[in-house]
Amino acid sequence: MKRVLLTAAMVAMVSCARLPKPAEMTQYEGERKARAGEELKLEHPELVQQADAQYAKAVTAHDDKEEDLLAHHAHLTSLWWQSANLRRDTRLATESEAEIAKETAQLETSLAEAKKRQKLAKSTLDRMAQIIALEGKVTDSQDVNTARGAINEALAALKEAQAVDADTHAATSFAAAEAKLKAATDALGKNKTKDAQSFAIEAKAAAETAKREAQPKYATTEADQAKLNRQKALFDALGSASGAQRSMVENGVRVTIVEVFAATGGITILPVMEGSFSKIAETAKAFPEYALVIEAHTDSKGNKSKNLQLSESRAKSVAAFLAGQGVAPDRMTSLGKGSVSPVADNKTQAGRAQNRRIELLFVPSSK
Amino acid sequence: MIYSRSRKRPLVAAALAAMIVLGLGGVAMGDDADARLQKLSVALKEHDVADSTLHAATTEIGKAEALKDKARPLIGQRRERESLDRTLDELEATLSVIDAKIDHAAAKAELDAAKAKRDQVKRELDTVRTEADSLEKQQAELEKKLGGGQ
Repeated sequence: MKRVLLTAAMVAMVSCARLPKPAEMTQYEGERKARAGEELKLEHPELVQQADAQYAKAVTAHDDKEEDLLAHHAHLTSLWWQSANLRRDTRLATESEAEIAKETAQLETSLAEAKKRQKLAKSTLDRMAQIIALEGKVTDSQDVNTARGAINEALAALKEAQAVDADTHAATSFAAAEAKLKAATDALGKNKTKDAQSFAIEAKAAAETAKREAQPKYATTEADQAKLNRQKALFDALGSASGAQRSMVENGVRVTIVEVFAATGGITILPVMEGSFSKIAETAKAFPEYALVIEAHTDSKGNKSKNLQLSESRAKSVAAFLAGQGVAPDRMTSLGKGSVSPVADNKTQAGRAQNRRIELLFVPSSK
Repeated sequence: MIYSRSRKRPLVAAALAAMIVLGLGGVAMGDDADARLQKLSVALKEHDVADSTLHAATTEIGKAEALKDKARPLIGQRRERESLDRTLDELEATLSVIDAKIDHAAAKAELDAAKAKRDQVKRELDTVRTEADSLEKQQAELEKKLGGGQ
């Protein structure tokens, strides 16, 4: 009797024993309850809902002591959770990249300024070296000192002219000033102090002329350079859109993406291409001074007017997707081009694939 | 999805029985699963191509291939319906991870490239600044020597 009772008790204990929770499940429980888990749900609700649903099934399987089901649902919980986490990490990496790109742009500006300082100091030093070389060759006198003073003034005027890039923007006047300064130095070396003074005065006048000539161009160039830097930054930023071919065009950037849509006649962007367009949308938001022209092109197969209609719908579909990602609709113009502007041979399959494309043109906004 | 909840199995069996009696057997269900498998297989192929350069999800792609191969013979077998559903669910979740891994690896590569470019510009800036400082110092010394206030 005792043995029967003992066996019954053991059977009861075994049947009541709970299954151990898989590590994937306990890890999920810990991470999901944390604040970061709630934030992840806000960021990727669909993926976290999938994970939550699988977790609920895992809990049921655990209660039911269904070991296989428990392992299956715990694994699926972990996969959906991992997917959401990876997507969050991707966003963080993209944000860091954008920050670093800004930092790099600032560093490049500082580098350009430092290079200019370096060039200016080097040129001035070279000119000074010519004057220093005369030390010991000329004897001090009132006239020599006067000539030296005039040469120093010319030297200062040349330095000021070069600071506004007169050597580039007013090359003739600047070269004349340099030649006169050299003539002044040479004359002083030969103790022709009057000539030296005269050449130095001419050098100073030429340098001042060069400075006046260069100043307006220098100001324009600075503004143009700032625009060019933005254009280059836009070009670089668009490199993050996979599958996108970029080219610099006048004042803007053209992006070409092929095989964007699902099936023949489809106007829905392929899921695999959505990431690229999301990157383009992010870039467009970071460069609000540019407007977007969206052109859709088809291959030559089928009816021309239908291809035109299809391309119009596809261009609108891309514009709608970008608008959904936060790009202001009034910045975008969508155009259907049909099959009239092929970039490759429509007789081959590969050529037709190249022709089925979306071109996005970033151009300076007129608003 | 209801197949995965063990406590509902009796209901499932009853529902299945009813479907068989009514002639709504595995053909339609097999078609659904077949379509789902086709869709997931296409997605897997796309991911495989997308990952051909970065190799960010090689292991997961291998697992997904194995799941796809496991699912294929189960199509149309009513008895294996639950196993098929589980396999397809796992394949779908694995594809989501693959997709996320590929995107993450691409973003990471771009981030690394941006860091490398920034560091290179920083190094060049340090060098040029040092040289410019040194030249300007020499210039100031020479200006003193020349006696002119430049």
